[in-house]
Amino acid sequence: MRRGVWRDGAILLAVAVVLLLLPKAYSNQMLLFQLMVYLALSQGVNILYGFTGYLPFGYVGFFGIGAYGASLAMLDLHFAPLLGILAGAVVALLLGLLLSPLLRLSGAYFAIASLAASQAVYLVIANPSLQNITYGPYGIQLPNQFNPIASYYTMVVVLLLAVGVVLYIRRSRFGMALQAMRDDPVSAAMSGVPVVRERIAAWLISAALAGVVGGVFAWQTSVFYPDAVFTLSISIFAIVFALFGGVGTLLGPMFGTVVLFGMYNMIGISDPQYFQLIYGLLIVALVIFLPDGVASLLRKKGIHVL
Amino acid sequence: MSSDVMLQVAAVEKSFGGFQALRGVSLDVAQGQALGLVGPNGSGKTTLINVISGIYRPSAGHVRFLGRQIGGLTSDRVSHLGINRTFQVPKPFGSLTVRQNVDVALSHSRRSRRKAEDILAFLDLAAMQDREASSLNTAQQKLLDLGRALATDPRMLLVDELGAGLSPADLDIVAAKLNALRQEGITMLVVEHLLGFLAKVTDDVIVMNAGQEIFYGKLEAAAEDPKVVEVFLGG
Repeated sequence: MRRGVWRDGAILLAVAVVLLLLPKAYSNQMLLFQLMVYLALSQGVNILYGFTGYLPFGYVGFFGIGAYGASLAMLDLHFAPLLGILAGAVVALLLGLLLSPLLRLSGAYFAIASLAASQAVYLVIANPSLQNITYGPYGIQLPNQFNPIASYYTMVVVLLLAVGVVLYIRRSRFGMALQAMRDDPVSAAMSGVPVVRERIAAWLISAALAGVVGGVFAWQTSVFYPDAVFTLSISIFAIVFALFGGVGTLLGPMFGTVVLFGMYNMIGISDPQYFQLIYGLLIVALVIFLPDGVASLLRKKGIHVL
Repeated sequence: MSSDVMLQVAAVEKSFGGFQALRGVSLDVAQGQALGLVGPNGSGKTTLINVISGIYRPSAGHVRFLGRQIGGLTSDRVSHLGINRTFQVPKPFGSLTVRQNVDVALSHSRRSRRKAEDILAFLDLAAMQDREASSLNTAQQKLLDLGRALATDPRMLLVDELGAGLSPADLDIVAAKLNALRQEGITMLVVEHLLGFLAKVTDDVIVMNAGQEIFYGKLEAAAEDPKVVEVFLGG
């Protein structure tokens, strides 16, 4: 146990060092920021799908509501950016609570219902008649908040937090209960695990994480339309990155994000619509043929992926 | 209700849509007793166990454990009160190791004085404690299921067809283990088709048919009972 704590600390430190040095080696800070957004979101998907088996196609809803919660807190309540981001996380958490009855559904029903819920939130926010409250379809402008350096380093901290949460879940009683529930919820309940409560806890952690990431994204961009933070492709990307690398591990989703997001940026920028198609098909293929991603291939060879 | 009744099932009914799986079942299990439950497929044995263990909510009637109403409680709460069970088709946590399967239950138990090492040794699973549970054979998974149940330190065990699919040699071993647990004071309700096995581990049996009790008494007497004979041999 003790050794495990040191090892987790070393991992966090290594991730921190890489993230802090990356801007010096690679000048496109905007792209690095987006990479971190997906690194964090894929860990959020990992927490939910990897540890509970619920595939959240509507995951982007928490990201979008976090972006809006943070922005409106800064615009209307004059919160400082960090406080605004916290407000965005709280709003995402509340949305998670509101949607927690969806967890009674299973499999594809949950995936579709969560997708519908996220699009419902989008339609409310982008509704022209609510322009006085949400700023409507023309989106958000955050004057005087633009600070690419500070928002970059805030994102570094958020990503480290996401990594820390996954490391904690992997070693904790909570995480073991989640994996047990994923394998067999009935046996887990019979073992004394409060299945519904633990599942909602994982859901809320995952929702709040996406909310924080959305808030930092809003701060970084400072100007965005509603569809930019509610587009389904954010869900699809986060899911496919996590699935490709291997959910239930820490490094799997990170590997998946670096490889697939890298590929997307090398060849997908000119024709992004094909990538949505390709990644959509990839999700189907992964769920059917390789549900535990690349990490499971290594595991078969006796290499245990952290 | 006499003072040594541990589990009391009173007029319990359970329907699924139009199908009535339990039609007013009543039974008492005394402290320390090992009661058998037999009956043809579809007679409601497993449904009754599912109701007692909190997987199903009874449509009508009462379930009391140590005088406390438990009908409709969720399984985790039933488990905390001291009832646990095995499953007809074993349900281990396949991606966890054998040891972790027991640890999940141990770490969530509010009662347990037991140790994972002791449980695994008792069930002859110690040598494979680091293997993934999904890699065990059915007989081993059944033992692990029992181990997971034991980890919660139950006062009462509901044993659902633990014997099915085991070799005669394994059956004797499992029967000996159940008897050892009974010696420790664990009360049991044992669903089983294998009457020879049942005779080794229980005192009295209840015979169920079509969601109702049709016989209560010694297993040998059941074989003489005209109603039981009719149900099993089709009259």
